[in-house]
Amino acid sequence: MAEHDEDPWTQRIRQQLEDSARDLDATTLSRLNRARQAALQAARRPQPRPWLWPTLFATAASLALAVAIWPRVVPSTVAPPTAVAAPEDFSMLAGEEQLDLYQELDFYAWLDAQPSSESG
Amino acid sequence: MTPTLAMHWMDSDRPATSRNHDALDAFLRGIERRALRMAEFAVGSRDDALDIVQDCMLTFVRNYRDKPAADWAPLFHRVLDSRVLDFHRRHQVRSRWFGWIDRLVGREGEDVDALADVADAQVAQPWQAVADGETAAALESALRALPHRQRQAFLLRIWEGLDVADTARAMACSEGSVKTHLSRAMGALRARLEHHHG
Repeated sequence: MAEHDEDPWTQRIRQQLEDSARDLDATTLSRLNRARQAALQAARRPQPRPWLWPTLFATAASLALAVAIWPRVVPSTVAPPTAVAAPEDFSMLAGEEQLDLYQELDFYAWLDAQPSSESG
Repeated sequence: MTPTLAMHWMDSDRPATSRNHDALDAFLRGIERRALRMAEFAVGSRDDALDIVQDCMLTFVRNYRDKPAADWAPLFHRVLDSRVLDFHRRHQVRSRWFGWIDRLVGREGEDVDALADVADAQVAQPWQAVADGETAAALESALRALPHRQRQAFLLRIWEGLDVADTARAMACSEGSVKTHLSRAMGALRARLEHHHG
């Protein structure tokens, strides 16, 4: 800046610019004053948070989406019914002689439920 | 208690927000006229420049009022430059999309007052009455003819008095770019104004 301060040409330019700003008309000065007061009033009010509601909405939407798709993405921890027979079923299946008994299991169950002829 | 100490005590007793408010008021009072003229050089219209400065003040106060006061000037001019660039972008988009309408319709249908742009010799602009009107008009014309960055570097360094570092912050560029823009601006202005300023 010092080199320009010593330059008379620059000084004349600066003075002319200062004059142009100093002698603004009353209407313009009034509008500037109102603009300044409006800005200072805005400074007294609490800061608006325009990002707050979009952020809250985005968070809520993300949570809802996560809840909706969670069961589809994560496999159920409950084991599906398996077709593999239990060990006692193997012994049952292996013994051919007992198959008839098991096939007639419903009959024996019914028979067991009948009242005894001795008691009647 | 001496008057000076009493004033200090009273000042320290005031809420910080009130002191900040007074400091902001003083800062804006000091810079608003130059900001208006700078915006006017950039957009070519007093009304548009007033709108830009008003928007700039609001944005500056909302976003930067708690920054150190030493940083306010470059931050204010950073916001002002941003608003000026937004203005030019909006006008470019508007002329791109709606310029063909003006060309189709022409200006025959508009109620254009041919005398509206002619200066009234009886009502001279106050600042032109003080300064040499012809020279002031030449300076304004020369400043408007400069590329945006050159004009910005010139006004911030020569008129606003910012140093190179603060000018670079306000213009969001390097200090070397500021020096280059300023040098070119000075050369262009000297060439255009040599008849008026010698």
